[in-house]
Amino acid sequence: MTLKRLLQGVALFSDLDEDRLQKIVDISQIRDCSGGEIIVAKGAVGEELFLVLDGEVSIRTSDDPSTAFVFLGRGQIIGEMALVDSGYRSATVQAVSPTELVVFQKDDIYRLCEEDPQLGYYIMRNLAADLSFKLRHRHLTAQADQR
Amino acid sequence: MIYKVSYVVLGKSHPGAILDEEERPQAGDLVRFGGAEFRILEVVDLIPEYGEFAFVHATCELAVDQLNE
Repeated sequence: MTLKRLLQGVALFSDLDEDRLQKIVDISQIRDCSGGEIIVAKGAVGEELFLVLDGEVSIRTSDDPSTAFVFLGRGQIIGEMALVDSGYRSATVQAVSPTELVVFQKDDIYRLCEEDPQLGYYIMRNLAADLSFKLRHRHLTAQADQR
Repeated sequence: MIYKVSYVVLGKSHPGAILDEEERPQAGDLVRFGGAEFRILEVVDLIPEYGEFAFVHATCELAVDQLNE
């Protein structure tokens, strides 16, 4: 399956037509990570957005690998907070198993959004929906901890 | 349809996961993430479907064989 078809099945790119999807493909890079590899280090400057194509990553805010607060698998995006607020990385992301990522440079995404505001609207709306979904997951996890 | 699934594990035994699935998970299914296997207890729609995407919440517990280890 082509990268374009794979991206079509990712919620971040929902509603993008073929031409706009091709623009996304044109700024993407594939990165293969081995199990245990640190993809993002907490406190680092965030210049990239990641999409998990295959595999699984853990997310944690402490140095202890056993303190993951969520695992993210295929179709999930990583690094969206730094994309939105340009802050430092809020958590460490580590590949749990061999993991294939799509990497987008923050500046390339901003450029596409400015060149094509309709594309920018879709991306930012879908990004907000993704953040909302993750927040709902955190709320449900907190509730489950009390049961 | 792509199902974006929030897997939440009862108790504090595991932090859970978010995964995209090609089929809607069902109660009784086994699912593996974060180095362990879980049995799904309940599945509910978290927010309304949008386009080709559905957003689902699945409550899980560690699979029985792992509870006995």
